[in-house]
Amino acid sequence: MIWLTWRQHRSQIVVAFAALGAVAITLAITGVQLRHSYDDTLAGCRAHGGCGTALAAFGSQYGLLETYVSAVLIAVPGLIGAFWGAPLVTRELETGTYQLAWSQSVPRTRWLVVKLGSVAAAGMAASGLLSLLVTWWAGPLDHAHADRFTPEAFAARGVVPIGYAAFAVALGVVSGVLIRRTVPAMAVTLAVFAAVQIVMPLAVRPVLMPPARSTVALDAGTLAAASSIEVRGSGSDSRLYVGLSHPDSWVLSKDPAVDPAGRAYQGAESCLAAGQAQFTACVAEAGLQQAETYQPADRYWRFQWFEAAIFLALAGGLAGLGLWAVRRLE
Amino acid sequence: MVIEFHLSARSGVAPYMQLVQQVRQALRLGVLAEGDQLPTVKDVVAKVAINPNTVLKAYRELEHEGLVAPRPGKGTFVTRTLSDASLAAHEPLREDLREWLAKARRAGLDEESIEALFTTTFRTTSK
Amino acid sequence: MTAMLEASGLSKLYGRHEALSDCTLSVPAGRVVGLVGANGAGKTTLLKMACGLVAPTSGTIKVLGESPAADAAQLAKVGYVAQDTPVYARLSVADHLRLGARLNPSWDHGLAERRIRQLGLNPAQRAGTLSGGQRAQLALALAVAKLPELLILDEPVASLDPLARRTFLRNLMEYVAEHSAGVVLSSHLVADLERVCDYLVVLAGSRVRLAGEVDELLATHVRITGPRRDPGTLPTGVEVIQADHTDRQSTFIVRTDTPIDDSNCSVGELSLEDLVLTYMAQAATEPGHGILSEAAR
Repeated sequence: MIWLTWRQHRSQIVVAFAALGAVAITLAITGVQLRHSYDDTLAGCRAHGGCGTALAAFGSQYGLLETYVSAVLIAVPGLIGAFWGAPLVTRELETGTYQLAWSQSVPRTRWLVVKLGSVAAAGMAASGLLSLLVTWWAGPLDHAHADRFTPEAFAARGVVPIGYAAFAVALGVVSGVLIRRTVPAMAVTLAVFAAVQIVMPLAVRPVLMPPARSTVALDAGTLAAASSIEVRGSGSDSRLYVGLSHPDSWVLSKDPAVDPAGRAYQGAESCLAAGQAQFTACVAEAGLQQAETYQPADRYWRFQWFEAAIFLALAGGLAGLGLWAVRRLE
Repeated sequence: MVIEFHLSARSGVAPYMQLVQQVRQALRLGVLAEGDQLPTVKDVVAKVAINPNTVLKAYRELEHEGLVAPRPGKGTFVTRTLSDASLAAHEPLREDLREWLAKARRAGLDEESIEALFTTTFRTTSK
Repeated sequence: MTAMLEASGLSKLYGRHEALSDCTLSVPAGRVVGLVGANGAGKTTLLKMACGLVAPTSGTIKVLGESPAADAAQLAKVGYVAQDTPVYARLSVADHLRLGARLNPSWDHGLAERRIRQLGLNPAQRAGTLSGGQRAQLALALAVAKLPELLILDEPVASLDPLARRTFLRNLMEYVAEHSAGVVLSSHLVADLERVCDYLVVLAGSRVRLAGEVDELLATHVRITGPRRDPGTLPTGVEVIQADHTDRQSTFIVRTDTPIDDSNCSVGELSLEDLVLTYMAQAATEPGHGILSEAAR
């Protein structure tokens, strides 16, 4: 049965791993360049004191490339699910070869278990290797941005792509068994996978562990080191939001700055009117505090494994559904 | 293989009977002689697309008529040719038949009536 | 001896459409069964149920004494060739043999290779480029090399030329002779059925109209032609299947266990084709009433 699965999907898998090889070479070459550039930047800025601006510049120089690479890594499991998983059963249904396969001495359930398991394993291996490469490649950039925990980077690093791949393949196969036609099954697989990738960071990942909360005093030093300062609204609705530096943590929400009495600070507008140079001093005088809800940096790997496990469990559940549905297929 | 069989779809005769008739014909013409082996069921079936049970049935019928006998482990063999005694009876019977036909025609029966008369009498007497 | 194929009250509903309706059959082992019927009469549905590809809506079906596709052991005893003989287009002929060898414990690789050689198939050739006849022969070789006790074939020769058809049937009968296997074969070609089948099932209007040993069916059905008369005047014990009347003449197709000795009419034998057509026509004229006619054993 494993031989048959291999023989049927041989060309797909060979093409995929060849593409993976090409990507690996590209990433290796650019990755080495990236590291040299990073090392040079670091050497340069350390000699002159603070590295903040230099690293920010380094990061934005490769910003677009990093977005592409991360996008590819997030898309790959979904594509594997749609192109390997969905046609697994539907092709046999559409060409009628299921009649040949199911009249051999192998019960349907074992047939599906082996096919699904093998393709999922191949998908997980491909995604895993790709993720390994990209995580290595993006190392310097992740140091520079210190944002690997944010949704944009989290899904494109570490072990979660392996979980995504298992889930996507199981999703594809089950869609195929239930819908029975290749193109609609592929479309549904891609749509559901995309929806899950959106819902996960918005609704599920933030609450996998109860977030931490910190309250920081907004003195001159903190304000100077802030990554962003935002004034929203006007008049009595005016609010001040200060982006504090939490390297490698995931800030979920910021409360508006509050005065010592606990009321929302509305004076940012007037501080602005005083002029840019005076703004920091003006705000610092008010003795404000700001609270943030965030997931601390040291939880990163726990979240990676937890999320990967969730997706593997989903994959298992879908596989069970698929086995039940295939027994009733006609 | 000593003889080959063929099936005629249009003869109106049951397949097994066709095989029986072909064996009898072969015996009559001397193609098959005493001691010859009939083709095995497998051989017949490989040459002619026919149900193996049909061949078995035909061979059983021939055995019933005393023309062949199975030898366990070896096959089915011809035990006797159509007896000379019965061949000898053919001529006088043919003469009788010619006379009877002439009588029937003189009585005014047409071809179909003669055939129908013969067929019904033949059937009812051979049951 | 266990029946080869046994169905009891078997029905299949696809939405509102009744593909099979209350079918009851009991086919003895070792027969070559011909399954005849109009398109859409339920032949394919019945065959698919026999190999476990489709589940009944109600009623039961047992093949070689067990539920179809009950487990790997039961699957090994039944060989199936589907309509249009699907094969894996991108796999070679040799790959298909390897498929059979790996997925069937009772696989006879020598038999499979001999057949491929005899048929002159090129083992390296992709199955997608084979002709219809070659595909059918490949499918048959795959079904046969697992040494099944029962072969189920859904119109395997429908799209074959006469020579390919004859070769296919010869190879099929060779296997039957060698292994005393049973066959259930659906076909429109009555001439073929006459040669190879010893048991007949007629399906019409999703019901079983006739089922029995061919010899017995042909011996007990006759056509009575004579002057116009009422069916009631026919001898007792005669079951009228079809009656046609003109002003002067009546033609009856009847079923009877005793020979008819009536000089007032002419009694003729029916060919297998006539028999099949009679029962198929019966279903067409009486859509609401199915008369199940089964030969007593």
